Amino acid sequence: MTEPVKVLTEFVHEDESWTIDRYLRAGGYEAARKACTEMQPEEIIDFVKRSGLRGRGGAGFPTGLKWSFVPKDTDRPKFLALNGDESEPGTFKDRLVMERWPHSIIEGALIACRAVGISTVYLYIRGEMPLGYRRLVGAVKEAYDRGFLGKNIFGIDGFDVDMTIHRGAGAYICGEETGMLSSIEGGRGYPKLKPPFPAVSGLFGMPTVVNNVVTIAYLPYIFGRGIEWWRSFGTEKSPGLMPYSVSGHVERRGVYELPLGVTLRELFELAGGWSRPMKAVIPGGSSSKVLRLPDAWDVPMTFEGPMEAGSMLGSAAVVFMDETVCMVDALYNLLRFYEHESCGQCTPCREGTGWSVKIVRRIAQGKGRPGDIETLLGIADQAIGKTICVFAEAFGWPIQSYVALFRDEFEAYIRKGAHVAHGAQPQAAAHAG
Amino acid sequence: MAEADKVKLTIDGVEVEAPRGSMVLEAALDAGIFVPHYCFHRALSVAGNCRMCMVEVWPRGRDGKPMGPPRKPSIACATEVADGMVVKTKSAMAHEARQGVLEFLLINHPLDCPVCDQAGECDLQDFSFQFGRGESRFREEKAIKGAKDFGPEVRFYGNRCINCTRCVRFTQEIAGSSDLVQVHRGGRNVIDLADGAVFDHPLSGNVVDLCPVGALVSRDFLHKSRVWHLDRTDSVCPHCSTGCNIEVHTQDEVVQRIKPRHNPHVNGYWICDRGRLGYHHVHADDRLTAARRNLGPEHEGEVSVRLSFQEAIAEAGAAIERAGERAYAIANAWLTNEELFALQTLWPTDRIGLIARPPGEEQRFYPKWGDAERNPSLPRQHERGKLYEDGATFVIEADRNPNRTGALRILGEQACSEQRLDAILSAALAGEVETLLVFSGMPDYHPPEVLTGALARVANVIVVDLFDGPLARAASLVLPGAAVFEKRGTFTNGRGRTQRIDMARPTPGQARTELEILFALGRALGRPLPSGSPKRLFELLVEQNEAFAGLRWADTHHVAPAWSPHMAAARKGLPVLASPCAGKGGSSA
Amino acid sequence: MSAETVDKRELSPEARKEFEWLCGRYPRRRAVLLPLLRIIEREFGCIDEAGMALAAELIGISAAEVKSVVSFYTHYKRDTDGKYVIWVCNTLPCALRGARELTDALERKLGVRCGQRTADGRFSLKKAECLASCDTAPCMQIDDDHYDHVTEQQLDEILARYE
Ligand SMILES: Cc1cc2nc3c(=O)[nH]c(=O)nc-3n(C[C@H](O)[C@H](O)[C@H](O)COP(=O)(O)O)c2cc1C
Ligand code: SF4
Ligand code: SF4
Ligand code: FES
Repeated sequence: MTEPVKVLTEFVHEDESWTIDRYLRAGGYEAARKACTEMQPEEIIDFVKRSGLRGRGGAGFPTGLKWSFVPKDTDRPKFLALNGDESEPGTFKDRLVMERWPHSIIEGALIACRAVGISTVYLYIRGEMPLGYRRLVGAVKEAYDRGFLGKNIFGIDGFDVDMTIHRGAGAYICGEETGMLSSIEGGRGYPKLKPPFPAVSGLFGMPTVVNNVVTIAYLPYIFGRGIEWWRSFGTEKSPGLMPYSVSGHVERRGVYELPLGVTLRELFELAGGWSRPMKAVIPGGSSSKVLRLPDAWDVPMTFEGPMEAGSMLGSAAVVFMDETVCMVDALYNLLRFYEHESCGQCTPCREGTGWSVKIVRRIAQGKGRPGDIETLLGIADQAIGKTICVFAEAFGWPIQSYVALFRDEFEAYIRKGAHVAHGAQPQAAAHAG
Repeated sequence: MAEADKVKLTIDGVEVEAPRGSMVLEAALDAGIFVPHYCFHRALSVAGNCRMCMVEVWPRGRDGKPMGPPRKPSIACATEVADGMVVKTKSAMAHEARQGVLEFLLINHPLDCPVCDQAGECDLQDFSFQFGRGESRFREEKAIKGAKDFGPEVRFYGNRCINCTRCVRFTQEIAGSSDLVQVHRGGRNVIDLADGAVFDHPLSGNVVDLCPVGALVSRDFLHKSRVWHLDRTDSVCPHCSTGCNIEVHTQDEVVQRIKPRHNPHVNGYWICDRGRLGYHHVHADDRLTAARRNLGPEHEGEVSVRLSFQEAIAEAGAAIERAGERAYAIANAWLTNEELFALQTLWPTDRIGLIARPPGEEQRFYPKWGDAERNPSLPRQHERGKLYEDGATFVIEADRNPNRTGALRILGEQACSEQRLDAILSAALAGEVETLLVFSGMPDYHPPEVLTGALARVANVIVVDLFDGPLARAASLVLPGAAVFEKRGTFTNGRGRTQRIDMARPTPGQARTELEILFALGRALGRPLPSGSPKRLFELLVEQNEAFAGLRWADTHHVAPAWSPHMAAARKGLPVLASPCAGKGGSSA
Repeated sequence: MSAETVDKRELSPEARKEFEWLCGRYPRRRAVLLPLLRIIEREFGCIDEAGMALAAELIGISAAEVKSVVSFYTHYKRDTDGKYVIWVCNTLPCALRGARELTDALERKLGVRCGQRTADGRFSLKKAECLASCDTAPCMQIDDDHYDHVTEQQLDEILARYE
């Protein structure tokens, strides 16, 4: 049985966990001090590479490698943009860390800045998180007051870092890294064409590192406790710890910080299980493909595991669904979300989200028609891989997987005009809109 | 261009050379391979949002060979060309991707082509026909977005909009005003103005041309004509000394609309609204169509006698003869070089003066976004929109006349000076002018009182004009002239570029071009012009006048570049090839 | 080019100072637009036409662009909203755990449907997308206050706090 390893979440339930004093008592800012004073920038990057740290934002990109793409010999300003937009349905790990352990993010950011030669950091926090915003603004102020932000940090001549908390205003797409950059720049949160990638031309057209806040928050621990410690968790390709957000049909929902590789069954049991038989699980946020239970119980939650099972780790947001859940309603709920959140730039996404939600709503209202399923799959197919950002995948994968794994349920719904799952529905058709 | 600045790639099996840094779409179009597209425009930053231009791109691998088929298609408009790249624009992957986009674009489209002004020049219609699947699987209710007037010239039909943001980028990057924006999000995205705002920017009409569908339409042209009935004539806008290249669209000899014609040295893809709407005078109610002799107040009842063209010319010739040295002429800055040259041949330049429309305000447009301090996200290729060295994207010159430069070159500085006009008018007031030949014919020209006052003191006033206005009323003899769109010839713009205008319609009734009038007068005076043909006169002008040395008649007509070979190109600045599916002998269906 | 009829607004001195400070935090003024809109929202209670005109003037962009940005985001309080906005999460993880019941209860209590404003203008009720609080579903926010594990019984007491 994999046991929780509390690192980021060790003190989060304490009162005042967000203050700098609490953080310093836990040894805060020591790892960054050590890394920044004792290591050369190149060494820091190399260290992160060797640690095998991969992004916690959803794509799992190797963090050290990402940093190394930033041009070295340039006198253009570089930026670090921290992604705290957390809006992938089912995900609530970033919010916990931002609200209750914010200094770990600031400390991690110092290490990243030192490594890449950055002196300006923006942390983009989701508009709907006013508490997190206040806590982060407070933490930044504390850090300035104690000299962890500002000029000559750790007494290093010329190691200056400024950090600004930038509050979003309600748009899921601002979690996509270039959408976030557009939003920081003061625009609509439109994702940008890539290439050029942010590492070369990002914020204000300058080289920019984009990382998830939790990716960054792990850095102090990796530097403080060493690569060996970090690699003692997880697998070769997915080393370290991950805060899993567990929700849906389990007794004790919450963030479970565990080594990568914990199985879905273990997560379910840690969360207290559920009284009814289980039907499905979303392993990595609503955009990842749904998996069938019991088939998926033993999938190890590494970056590779869910992929082999036909899905992905994504943001490690695990949503369990029991047998009462009607998959038509569940898909309808999600497509409604995607339709609401598409930025609307690209034709296939703007039109595909709207069209697919109309079809599934119609099915959920008992007015399904033969051919609807094929059309839905066609929409996904026509959108995936054909847009500026991977939002098309984000709504296309749910379509493909719900329909593929629960096709009988969709067909029956279309035939009978009513859902066939037992008991309650997550979102009744009557509730549409 | 140096070799190093070029890359070699293969598009549909054809080896193509393209400038480094350019996009696959441009390279394909330049090579005559048509890739359908909506959001891309050569003068605007790349948005890459319509996804219509998807093609299959095989990048070059480390070993120098193409890497093999990609997982997914790429958009040609935002894929930079690279050495050894292989592009397939007609593969199954590209074709299916395109069909998908078209199906998506049409699901919320009202399909109201029968009442849409864009029909016949609509890229949605055209591409659906050429690349579409022919049937839609959409069975749901369509989204409804209203229609409204954005401004005096532009009307917006929300349902037809495909959100390509060309219009938005135009007002940002070219007009520099950011009047038009997208509001809302996702499927509710729609183009709009600020609350209570009016889109009355001097360049507003260009968004109508830019709009690849019928979402932005001209209020002036609204439901006037179906575009397939239009005849098109290349010409030059007379409304300022920029000399924008235009097309004059007529139906049954009536001008229906003016469209810009792409010329990278003059106007890019644009014209201003004054030029766009500045054709109505051609069909003005007070347009003169017959020659006449005005009778003095002593003639009770009758005010004028209608004359035939011949009679009028004979009377004019006689009056000029009689006056001898006391005959003067006033030319204007709307006459073509050939007409001015004819006048100069017939008339001593020391007895010629010049009238012109008074200057307006000079308007230069810069992308406001050039102001980097405030720039949100610099449009990446905003360089594309630059037309002039100083970064201006378009200039409306203060000189509201098309050919002052020509007049200066042909009649000389003195003849065109204020002093000369003053001297002639003073002489007239002093009773020293017996016959005065006045060319007017400038729309929106309000003759100053000194001019009309002076005419009253001249025995024979011969006025050539378009309108029955103050000058025609002050004349003793009136000859109806021709509008710019009724002539052939050349204008020389403010920057010294000599450009061709052409006849889009015949002169109405007895009206004649000023050249025909001068030609007839020459005969009547016994000093016939060497030719009545604008082309021949132009050639003589080039021989005789230093300032025009070396010019060839053919060069005065700018032909749209190779990548926009057929009418759609000139029409909308959109590159469209004659045979769109174009393999060899590809059909247009 | 916006209409003349809009009454002109000014920031309070403190807000003005905050705005100036923000301008120093970004290399380009335009980037201050989102935070400035939050200031305007706070100062004037919502973002309306006059507020957008003020933002346009302070940032130096067209009023149309401000509208374009404001309308992209859903979380700014607009003049069409009630005095307080109730955001009730309805996305799948919450829907699995009682979001619908909570939403129904709110609709009943307030006498409006989601997306509407109460007749007295006190509340707007809106569906939120996943509030990253799936572990405490059903959840809701009223302006800047977050409520976890909300039951129907608590609603009267909670709503009473918003006069
Ligand atoms: C539609 C969409 C939404 C996303 N939302 C988030 C988000 O809320 N938070 C986040 O950190 N990453 C999000 N991402 C992933 C980011 O684009 C990016 O990969 C990530 O922030 C990089 O940080 P990391 O390498 O540290 O994970 C999203 C991606 C997409 C396509
Ligand atoms: S894929 Fe969708 S969300 Fe992403 S840029 Fe295109 S329209 Fe926007
Ligand atoms: S109005 Fe026309 S040009 Fe503007 S976005 Fe819509 S389709 Fe494109
Ligand atoms: S995406 Fe290439 S032309 Fe629109």
